Amino acid sequence: MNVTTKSEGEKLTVICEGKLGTTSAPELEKAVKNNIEGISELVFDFEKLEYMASAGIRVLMSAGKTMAKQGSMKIIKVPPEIMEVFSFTGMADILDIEAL
Amino acid sequence: MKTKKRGVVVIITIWMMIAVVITYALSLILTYVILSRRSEKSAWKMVVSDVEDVSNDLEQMVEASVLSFMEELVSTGTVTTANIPDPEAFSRELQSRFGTQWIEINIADKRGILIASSYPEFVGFNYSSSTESSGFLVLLDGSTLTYSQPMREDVMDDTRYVKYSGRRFEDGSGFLQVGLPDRMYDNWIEIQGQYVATNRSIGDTGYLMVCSADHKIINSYHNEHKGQNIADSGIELDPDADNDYTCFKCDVFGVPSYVTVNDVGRMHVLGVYPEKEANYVRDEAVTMMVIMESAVFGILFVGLIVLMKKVIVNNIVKVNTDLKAITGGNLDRKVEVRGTYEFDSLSTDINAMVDSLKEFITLAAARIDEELEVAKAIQNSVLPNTFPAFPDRDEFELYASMHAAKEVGGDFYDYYMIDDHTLGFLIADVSGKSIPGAMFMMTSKAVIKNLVESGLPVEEVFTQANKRLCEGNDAEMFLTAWLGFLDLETGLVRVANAGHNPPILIRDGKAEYLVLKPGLMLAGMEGMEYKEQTLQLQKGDILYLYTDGVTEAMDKEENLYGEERLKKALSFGEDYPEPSSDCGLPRSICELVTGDLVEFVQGAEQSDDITMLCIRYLGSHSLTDHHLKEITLEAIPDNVDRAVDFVDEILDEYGCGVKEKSAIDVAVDELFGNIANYAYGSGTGYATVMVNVVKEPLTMEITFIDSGIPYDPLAKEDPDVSQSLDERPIGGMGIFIVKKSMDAVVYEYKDGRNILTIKKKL
Repeated sequence: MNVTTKSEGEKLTVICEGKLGTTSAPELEKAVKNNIEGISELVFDFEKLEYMASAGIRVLMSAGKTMAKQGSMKIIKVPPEIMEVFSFTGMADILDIEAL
Repeated sequence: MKTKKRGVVVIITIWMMIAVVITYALSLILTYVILSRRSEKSAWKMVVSDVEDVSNDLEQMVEASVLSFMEELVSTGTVTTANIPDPEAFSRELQSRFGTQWIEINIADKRGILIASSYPEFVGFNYSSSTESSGFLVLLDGSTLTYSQPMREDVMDDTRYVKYSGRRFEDGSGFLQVGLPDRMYDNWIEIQGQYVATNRSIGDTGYLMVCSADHKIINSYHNEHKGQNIADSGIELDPDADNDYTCFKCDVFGVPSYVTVNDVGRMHVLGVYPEKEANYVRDEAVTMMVIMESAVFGILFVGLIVLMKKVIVNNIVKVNTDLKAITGGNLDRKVEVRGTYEFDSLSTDINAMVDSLKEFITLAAARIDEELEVAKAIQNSVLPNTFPAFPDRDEFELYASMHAAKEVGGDFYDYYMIDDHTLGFLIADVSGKSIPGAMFMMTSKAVIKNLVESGLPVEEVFTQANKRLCEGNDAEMFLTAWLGFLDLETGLVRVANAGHNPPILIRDGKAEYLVLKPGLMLAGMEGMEYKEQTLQLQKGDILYLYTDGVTEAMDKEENLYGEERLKKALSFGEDYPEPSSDCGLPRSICELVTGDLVEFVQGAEQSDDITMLCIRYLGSHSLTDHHLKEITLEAIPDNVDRAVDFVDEILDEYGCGVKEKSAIDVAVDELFGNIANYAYGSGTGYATVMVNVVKEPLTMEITFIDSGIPYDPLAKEDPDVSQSLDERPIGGMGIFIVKKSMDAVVYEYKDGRNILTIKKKL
């Protein structure tokens, strides 16, 4: 898993590539935590994400909770197979998600 | 016809020559002998007859003189039985008249009794008392007038000779007998003899001579001989012998002659007849015969030779010329020498023989063709040629073909399912052709098949096959071969190569020669060890194997088809569009190459077997329950990715869709993650991931096994997905996602192990 973060003022874009699972989730969590301070708009770009396991969802939920206090969070360019996971876990209803 | 042996004509000529010479010599000798004898006979006859003539003439002349004297006495009646003069006085009178010493006069009466004689002591002698005298009794028969006897010794005086003559008296009263002495007789003869021979000749050159008692020649045809002694002429006369036509041959005055001597009284009459004249006819005849026979035999001889040459030799030469053409291979040539009955018959017989020979050859050729056809049928029947070869397998497509050059070829191919997931395939080229090649091919094929089916590794198959084929390989044949064992699950090909042409690998429409280390050909050298080489096929790869009959196919100008053109043909470029795969791509590829070959050779005769085998690997996505793959890893979070990667590899192999792959990846991640995080508490342990692929429908069964704390994740309640972000606990989602995305999730605790299986249709 490859995580890239881009900061533009108060907007933080996190680009995730590869597999977001048990092994890589802590990496994403760390990247978000380190950069979330003073951020009002958090965007996750999932275009090149192959799969996302529950550990990934946990990171997104944690980030979502934080951002609910200091701004907004959005997950964009979600591939259909990952969108499916968001759907049946109910995440699609509680997070701002844009399909690819 | 250049031979040192003699010709028929020469042999016949020699034998004819010998026969002719013998006949010629025999006839000449025979003629000579017969004619010689005849000449001699006729010579003697002539000489004797002339001598006889002269002798008779002489005797008759003397006799006539005596008889005329007696006639005078009797007819005048001077002497009769009634008027008997004194014989002694009468004798003296007669003696004086004839000038002789004595003369004997006798008178006999009609009874044959002497009644008067110049020797008075004879009176009373009966004529019938002696043989000689009884001859005179004929004068008493009444008709015989005179009678004479040849000269004989005088009974009174044996030193003298006497010739008796008799005359009958007219009145039949008796007869008068007069005995003339030899001297007188000789005198007379001498007188007569002087004339008798003079004008007589025998033939042309023969002549007569008369000699006196003292051997003096008194008369001869040749006057110069007169007066000479007969001994001077070369004729030896025995003075004591009585010559009564004595015949002998001797030189007379140097001339070889036939000589006959007859004594007349004391005179000798000789006939001389030169042999030259006597043999004239013979010599003439023999000479004529030599000339005539030479001419006749010569003409006959030359004629025969010419005829023989014309009739026999020329015809034999004609027959030979035809036969030479026939033995030269032209069985349609006919012998037509019809001049004579024998040659006509010979020609007919030869033609009949050649015709039947031709028939036999045709039959034999047909039988050989038939046998080759049978061999071809056998060979074709041993090559598997039902396609698709394994209709229930869809991991690969396979096609192979073999076109024999002569009726039976030395190429072959074979393929076999060694076990459920291994395909063996073989292509080979035997060094021999025709029936021996086919027999070796069948043996090789059976041996290799046997070894493959016995489960040996690929390199060991060739090592053993080489060993077996080397045994009793008297014909010293060998074969090149390429054997591959394709693992249908992994695409790995284990290869053994026995000196065979490199196959072509077509990947993504690009053809490349696959150069592997070539081993030595099979049956080439005993104790050869072969090595295994490997080749990884990818899904869609095509492997094209062939024999050199493809690359070495020649057109009419003997240009080779070549490896470049083959590679180009299989590159599916502009010139060779990719064939349709309606009936399997390998078949289309084989037919494409075959078609390209036909176009290339342009009707040139196929010189070698053309064999090819093509496999398209489609990948393993239809395995049975037994096609398990598993991995056992230490149950730590860091190994989650390895577990995911392991499963991904299998999924890729089966062409798994992105959605299914993602779901399965998530499931593996969650489940392996759970084991890593919780199964062994604070301790460590292992987790095994087994992937089973089930076909119909293609389904992935993934089983996670650990021997940690017994824990059934399915027993946990599903989270409430309607809760808001704030309400929802962080975590507890993993097993839920798995349950949601998989088609089935089953937990089992068995033998101290947690066994969780998920299933997902692809």
